[in-house]
Amino acid sequence: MSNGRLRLIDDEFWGEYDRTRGELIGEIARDDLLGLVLDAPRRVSLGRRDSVPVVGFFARTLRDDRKIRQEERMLVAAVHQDTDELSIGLALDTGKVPAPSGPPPGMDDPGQGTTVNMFAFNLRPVLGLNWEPSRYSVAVLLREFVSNGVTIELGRDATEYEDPAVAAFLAEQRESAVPPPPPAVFPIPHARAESGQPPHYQPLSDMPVPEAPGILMRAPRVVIAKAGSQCILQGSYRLAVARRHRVESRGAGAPRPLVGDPRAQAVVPIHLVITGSDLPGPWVISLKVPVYQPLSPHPAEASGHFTIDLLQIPDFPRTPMTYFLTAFSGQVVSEALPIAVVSEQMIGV
Amino acid sequence: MANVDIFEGEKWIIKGKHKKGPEKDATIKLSIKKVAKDGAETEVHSKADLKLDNSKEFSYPYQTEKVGEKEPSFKLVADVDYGKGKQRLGNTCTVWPKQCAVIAKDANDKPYGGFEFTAKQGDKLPVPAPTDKDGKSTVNLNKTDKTVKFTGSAPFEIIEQKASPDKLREITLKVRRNFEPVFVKPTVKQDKKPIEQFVNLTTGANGQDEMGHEVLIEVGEKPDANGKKGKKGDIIYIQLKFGRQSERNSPKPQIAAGEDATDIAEADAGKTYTAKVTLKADDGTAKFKVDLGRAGGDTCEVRLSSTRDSFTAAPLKLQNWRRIYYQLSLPAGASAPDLTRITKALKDVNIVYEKYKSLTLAEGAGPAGTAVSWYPGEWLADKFSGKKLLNLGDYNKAHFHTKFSDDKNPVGAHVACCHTQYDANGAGCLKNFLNLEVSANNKVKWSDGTRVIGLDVWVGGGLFPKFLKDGSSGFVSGSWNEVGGAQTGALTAADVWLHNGKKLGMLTIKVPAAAATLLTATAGKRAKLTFDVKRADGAYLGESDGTSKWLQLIVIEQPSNVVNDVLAHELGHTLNQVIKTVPPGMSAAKHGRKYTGNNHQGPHCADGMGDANYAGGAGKAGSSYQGNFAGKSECTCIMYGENGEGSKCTGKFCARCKPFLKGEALDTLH
Repeated sequence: MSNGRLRLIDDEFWGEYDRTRGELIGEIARDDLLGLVLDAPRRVSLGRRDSVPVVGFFARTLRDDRKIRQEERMLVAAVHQDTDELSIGLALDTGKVPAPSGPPPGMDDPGQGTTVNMFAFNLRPVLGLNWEPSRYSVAVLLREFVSNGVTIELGRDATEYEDPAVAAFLAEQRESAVPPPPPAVFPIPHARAESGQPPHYQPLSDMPVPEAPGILMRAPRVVIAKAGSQCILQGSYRLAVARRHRVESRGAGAPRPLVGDPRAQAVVPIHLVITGSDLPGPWVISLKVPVYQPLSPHPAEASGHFTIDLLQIPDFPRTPMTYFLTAFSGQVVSEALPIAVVSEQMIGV
Repeated sequence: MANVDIFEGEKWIIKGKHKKGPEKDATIKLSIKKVAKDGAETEVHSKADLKLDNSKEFSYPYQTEKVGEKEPSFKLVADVDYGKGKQRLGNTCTVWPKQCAVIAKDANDKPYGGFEFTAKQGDKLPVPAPTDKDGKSTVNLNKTDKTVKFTGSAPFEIIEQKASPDKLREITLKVRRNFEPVFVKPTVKQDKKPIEQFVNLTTGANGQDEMGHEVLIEVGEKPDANGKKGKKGDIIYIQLKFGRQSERNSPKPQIAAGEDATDIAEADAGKTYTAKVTLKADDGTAKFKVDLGRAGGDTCEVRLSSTRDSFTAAPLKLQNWRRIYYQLSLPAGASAPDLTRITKALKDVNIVYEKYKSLTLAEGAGPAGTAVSWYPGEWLADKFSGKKLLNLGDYNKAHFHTKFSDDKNPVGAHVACCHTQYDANGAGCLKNFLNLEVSANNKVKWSDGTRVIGLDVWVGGGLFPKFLKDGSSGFVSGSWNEVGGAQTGALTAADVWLHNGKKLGMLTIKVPAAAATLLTATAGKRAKLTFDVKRADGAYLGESDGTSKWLQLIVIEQPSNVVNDVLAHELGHTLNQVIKTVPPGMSAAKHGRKYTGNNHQGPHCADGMGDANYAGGAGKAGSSYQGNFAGKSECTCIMYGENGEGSKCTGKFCARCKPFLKGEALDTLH
């Protein structure tokens, strides 16, 4: 069975991905769903396949349908589960020269209603995936819409003979291998972080951490892009902590790694993927968040908070429009957080 | 006193007569002396028992010695003793060397056989034999102390003449053969212009047919007065000067090792090479191989000389070009696009884009089955009413690509022209419209001009009466449902009006009679419409096929500059622009205006944009450039992300892109 709502078996993604289309359309119509639904095979045989099909539905209002060209706007993001590396690209990029298009001028408001279409693409060329054993957590984004996440494993064919002793041996070797050092904290906590000066990673009493793995975020709905302004993004998280995230010695006698925050017990990556109301971007800010709480032995889960001023981060876009921030970490994909940026000119200052 | 001149080894007949002396049979003594330059005399021979004859005379033949190596000649005198003391004979003899040896050497001090020459010593000497394989010959001398003058017989020339004081009759001549080296293959063009060498093409002709980056150059000699075209051992000196326009460094432009080239030397940071070749036979030739590299625009001048370091003759000039080909497939009835603009743009980067075949795509032809390739023009726009238009897209292009004669594989492209380009294979072609609310207040204009209860719906894309992929109806099916009630019914094709060419992408739904009755019967009554349509994705102006990138689709129903610019843009992508790959030796950073995304799809060029707005490709933070390079009128390169109608594209590759296009090997479009 597949990852998502399409209820397909893996093989059906190569050719029969629309088998359950009618059922899904029915559900979308019945529930008045808007947004993105994503699905993909759980496992892709490196030997038997040469593509990574990703399929989904995009349901939007008739009004949005007039404005949005999916092939120019839909982003796909994938997080490598072993390296935390984020890859992102235009999911439906045709590489063609589009002709001018759009509804004829003077059309009335299209009124109430939804339109839906399926989409399908091969993730491999879109993100330039290496054809090697790996696992990815994948989601698509379009403006404020964020799909469910799916996990895809690229690996051996399930029908291939696998020696359990070899598998156990390799797992043991991997477990005992020295992991790379954790990434340095970014952004580095402010010198007066303890008094609440951002960036900081102090607990936020009014912002509970998710009970299950996840990331919650909040920020001002509208900010002015001008000198001295702030755009404080606050978040809480509960995330799995891998050995590579732990701030601990990598061997007998080896020093504890330096990550820029002596209190950090681990450093977990949280990628903020930003897309805009008028432009797809994407803009990416990769936070490296220190975990302060003591960690249980591996495998562990950690929770915590982050508070950063987005306007202090150069990569945060400032062109007036509404931006949508989605956080990715491990298999976690947050909801999109809207932040509108306005200019002084817009308010006549 | 008389002197007699003889050659060494000859006999000096010494004669004497004693008028008052002893009688017949008297014994006399004869002493022969060699006279040194300082007058000192040394006896070299004596005869003690010489007898006078009846006439009181004597005659004695003296076998002379060879002239010493250090002396030009020597003189002999003779004393005779008749019994009463010595008496100097009046006759003397000067002994001259008979021959001298000549050793001919070339400029490299190696024996030069076959050297032909003449010699003069006052008078002409007999013509000596040509030097043997060891460079040796002999010259018969005159009996004189005059200097011997040697002269090379044309085309030979004596550059230098040496004789050692210790070996006066061994003359070393440094000689050369004055010949005019010539290019045998390829030859210098009569107009002296460079050969346009298409370095991306390969044939079996060793580059001598103006194709290939390696050129085997064959050289020989211009026939001399005797019709001789060189002599075995003749050395031809070579100089190459490369005019490097590109930083591409592989393969390296150079004289390649091998063939007959020796003494290959590089100078001037690889811009100059020298070498030499030696003729292996009389009337023969020699060969050397030059690698021109693969970068377009690079030049090479090859000069030859019979003497080292003196390259004055007209050079063989070569300039690197790349030639790629295209088959132009054109819908029946359409005029071939004028491709002057793209041709010029490519010529600027040393690419010749040559049409090798034209093909007419017959009206009505297409893949078997129900797919729609040719469709009525009125579907697209009223102005095309009565015409048939060809659409090429993902659902049928493979069929039309089979009409491509890939005779120029792998450097042939298929330029497939069409009237429109819509794709119909995508998952998104089937579009579902759900729960569109309608009431009696929703009045729309129907196809016959009447006003009816219904909705105008924007579908977009290629919404035609028939779905292009399979010829099925563009409208699939639908239904209406009463809101707050149970009445329902079907929507049929009769309830749907596709506007086609009047408002492409739009349809109007008229609610069926039963629904209209329901909606008008009760104020505020509403119904929901749900229906499916199939429409093609697009439209597009052109593409370079994702799998077969040598297939280029181009929509010709657009202004000529757009046709050219779109075609050039797509071809640019096929040629790895903007820097999808970096030619060896080049640095992508030097482009300086590459960007990816920014509201365009794929890698493009923002030449013309200022540093601040470009901001490393991200766009100036806080400005309209941040993440958005669309609509920037200062960007005019073909590889900018927009070049449709109204764009500011100059139709040329900019100065930033040109080096990378020149650096491409273009050995395959496949």
